[in-house]
Amino acid sequence: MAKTVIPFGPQHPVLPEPLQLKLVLEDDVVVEAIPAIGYVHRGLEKLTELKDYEQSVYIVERVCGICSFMHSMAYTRGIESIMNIQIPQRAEYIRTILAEIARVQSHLLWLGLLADSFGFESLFMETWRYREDILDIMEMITGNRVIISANKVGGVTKDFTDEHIKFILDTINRLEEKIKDVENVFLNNYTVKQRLAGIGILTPEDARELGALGPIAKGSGIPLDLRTTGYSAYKYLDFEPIVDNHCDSYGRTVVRIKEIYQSFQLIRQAISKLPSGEIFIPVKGLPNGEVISRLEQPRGEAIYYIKTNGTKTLSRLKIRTPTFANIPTLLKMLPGSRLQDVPVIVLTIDPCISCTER
Amino acid sequence: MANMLNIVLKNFLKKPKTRLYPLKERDSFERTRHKIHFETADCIHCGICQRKCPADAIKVNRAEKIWELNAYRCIICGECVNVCPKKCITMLNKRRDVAENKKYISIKKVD
Ligand code: SF4
Ligand code: SF4
Repeated sequence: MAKTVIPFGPQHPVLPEPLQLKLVLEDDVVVEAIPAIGYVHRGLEKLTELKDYEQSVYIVERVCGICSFMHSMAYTRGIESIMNIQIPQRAEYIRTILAEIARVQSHLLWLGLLADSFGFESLFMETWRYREDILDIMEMITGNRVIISANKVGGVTKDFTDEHIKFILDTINRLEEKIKDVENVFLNNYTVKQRLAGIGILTPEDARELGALGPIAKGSGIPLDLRTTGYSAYKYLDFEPIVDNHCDSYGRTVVRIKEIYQSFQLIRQAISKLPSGEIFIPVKGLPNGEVISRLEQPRGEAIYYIKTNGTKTLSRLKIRTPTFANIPTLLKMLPGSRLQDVPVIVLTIDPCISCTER
Repeated sequence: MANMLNIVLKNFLKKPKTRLYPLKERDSFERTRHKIHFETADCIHCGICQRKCPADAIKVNRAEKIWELNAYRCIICGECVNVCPKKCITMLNKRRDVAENKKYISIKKVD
């Protein structure tokens, strides 16, 4: 049969970010997908070689608009381990809580986008309305809604007051009830299930071989979660990575929804154990050495390679974001699927192209 | 079906979720970072804020006692607020007004 090549993206209604996939089709079945990235390269890694290492926190925060907090966390943790700084416990806890809040907002954003990708507009609006409440928490604590600039080499800049803690707990208790409603629609509604179940299949063997990360690996039954290594305050918290054995888009949705509840649970745990004390220790000297700093972002594991040479600026920063590692799995999932399912499959890897290209 | 009717009726009776912006503005939180405000009286034009600013938004001219802010570059991180030894920069939780043109905000100290 004759083959057709359709460019999917970089501008496409379901893609908030510029990823291009050249889809080779036979009739309406995808035979091959050829990715092209490079539309939003901003040279942020290079910029850190020109700025002070403390100012670079603000640069790495801008790598990604959604997991912005976790990028700054990976970076500051890296620099702290080069300089052998032990930050106060309270700061570790605050970082963990903010990271979990960021994970919830990222997953809610993704759920909304998923609903949008199969054309369920009201569900999309509903999930994003809940996300606004999470952003309110961020704004109340740190002063900004998305790029919160709460991290600093040596600790955090914003402390929690009792009022904040009450606000966080009230909000997550209220949201937990509401998310149960949308969960019901995502997981049990007949129409939604038709669009997710059996679409974009990734077997556990493939997932392992292609190096799937985060919810994609977990949705294929592989319990891969870097938080279990116990960085930051995760070592004091009690949790298990969430896995699902559906190995398709439905499985990945289940994982992300369950992770929202898990994050709520982690936030509650961390708040109940929150120690008192300092949130910041002054940093002296300049970093000299190199380090690999890793952490679990909403989309999977991010790797920071930081090299410094004892001057104010870094000599090299290399960021490997989870989406980059997940693109090969996407290319595995697409062949055999039909054209109308491509947007849903692309979205289930939660593509964040601007962080991939830095 | 009954559930749906319930939701429809509820939404019909509820107040709108949206605000009539710009007539009614959203309240900011106490820590909300909207804009930085500079008081020239105490400034010693030491230039620390200029050196610490990650976005190169501030320019300090010591000789002529001019403090300049390029509000379009400023990312409202609050670094300058924390480092100023004289505490002459503050963070406000009030929105910056719409500007007519992209000029620097330039403040000259007159003794
Ligand atoms: S740091 Fe403060 S005192 Fe120094 S130049 Fe800036 S505003 Fe003036
Ligand atoms: S708030 Fe941040 S970006 Fe803006 S002038 Fe101050 S230091 Fe520079």
